[in-house]
Amino acid sequence: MDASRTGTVTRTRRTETSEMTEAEAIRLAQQGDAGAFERIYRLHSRRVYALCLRMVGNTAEAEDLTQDAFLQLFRKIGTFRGESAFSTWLHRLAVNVVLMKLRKKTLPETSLEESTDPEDESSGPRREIGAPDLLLSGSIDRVHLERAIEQLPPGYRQVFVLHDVQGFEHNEIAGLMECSIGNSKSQLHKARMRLRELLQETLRSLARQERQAAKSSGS
Amino acid sequence: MNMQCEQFEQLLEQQDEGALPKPALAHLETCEACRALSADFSAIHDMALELGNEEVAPPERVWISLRNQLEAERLILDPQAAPRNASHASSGWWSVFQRPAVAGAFLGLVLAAASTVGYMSNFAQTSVHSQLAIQQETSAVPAADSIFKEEVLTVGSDSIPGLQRQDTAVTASIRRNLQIVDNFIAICEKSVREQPDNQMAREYLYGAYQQKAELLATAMNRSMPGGLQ
Repeated sequence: MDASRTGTVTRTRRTETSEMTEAEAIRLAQQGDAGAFERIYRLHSRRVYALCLRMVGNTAEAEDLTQDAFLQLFRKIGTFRGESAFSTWLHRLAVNVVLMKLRKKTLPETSLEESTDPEDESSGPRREIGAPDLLLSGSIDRVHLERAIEQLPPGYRQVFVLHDVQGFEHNEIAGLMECSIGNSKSQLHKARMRLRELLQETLRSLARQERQAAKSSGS
Repeated sequence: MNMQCEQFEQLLEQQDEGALPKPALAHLETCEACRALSADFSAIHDMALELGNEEVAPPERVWISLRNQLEAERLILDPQAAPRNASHASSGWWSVFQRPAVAGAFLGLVLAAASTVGYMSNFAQTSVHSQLAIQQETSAVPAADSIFKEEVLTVGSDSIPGLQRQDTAVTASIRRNLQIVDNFIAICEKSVREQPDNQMAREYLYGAYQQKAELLATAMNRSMPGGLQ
């Protein structure tokens, strides 16, 4: 769909609702007001979409999940009584939608319990004796990290995104992912180890490219 | 990795955040590898936190699709929107396009078809955009339908003499793409006739019209002497 055209379609309505506060929008949405639904969507969709995108690493799926999350939100908005912050409520709901989807889709191949078996030597990245360590601090940027996150196995990625990117605590993650706190910690640790490896590979590759570029410009 | 390093790593895993206990700090003093590990974890964590503050705007089709679904489920109770609800329950072929990914994929296919000819006419894009914007704001589908039918849609690849003379793979591709777009237009028109107030159906119809106009503009450019090849 052409964004410029859809922008034209929604522009008029957006200006009408842009003055609405979140509390007003919630109250009106509870009465089925279309403008209020849109206001809530415009306020929060960027955050929800970013979360979905990082959790699944795929734009088409992230779009579907964003739609699902808001659909569920609007189905349940009548039950929102304001005990917690609306954004927290929505965020948790979005996480649940993503996790439910991922659970259905990836359970056979990425069981959380399976990949955290302490007996399984290949279950996580290991440090090698004598391996040279490149310090990442100051050398990595967000683009590198995002790419590395995309390469993580789904189980690692979910815990890492929830904890390190979205700021959930281990006990919350354990509740959301239906696993133990220990499992959550273990997955996070392995995710960080794997990310470290991936980022170090990136740094090495960048250094190689620089050397080659210097060589070719010298000759 | 010696025993101390293993213990340190286990501690790091369990501790997660907060100050490390004294024995761990003492180990860090003497172990360069664990110091590097700890520093890298901090760097990753800090960078990840920055990522968490970033926002990404979803494509507009997500909202269009969502609104459509809200109307179908009668969650939107606007007086203006309410009559729409009954007319487009998500059944039949149209329900396929209720998912933004599927709709996006189909339009992507149409766009890809257009891009295979390698050229998008700026003139056609601009003029069609202007027409579409005006029509979206002011008129219903029948009006747009008649304008396009008179001015654009009745033109086919056979109506372009230069194109008929050419017998290249590109020309064949244009014909194929025109056929695809024509089929899609027919489906969209049928849907709009059945559901005149369905905003999304109209969106797709306009998009298909635009694609056809662009393909025809490309074809005409190719048919002209010295046109783009």
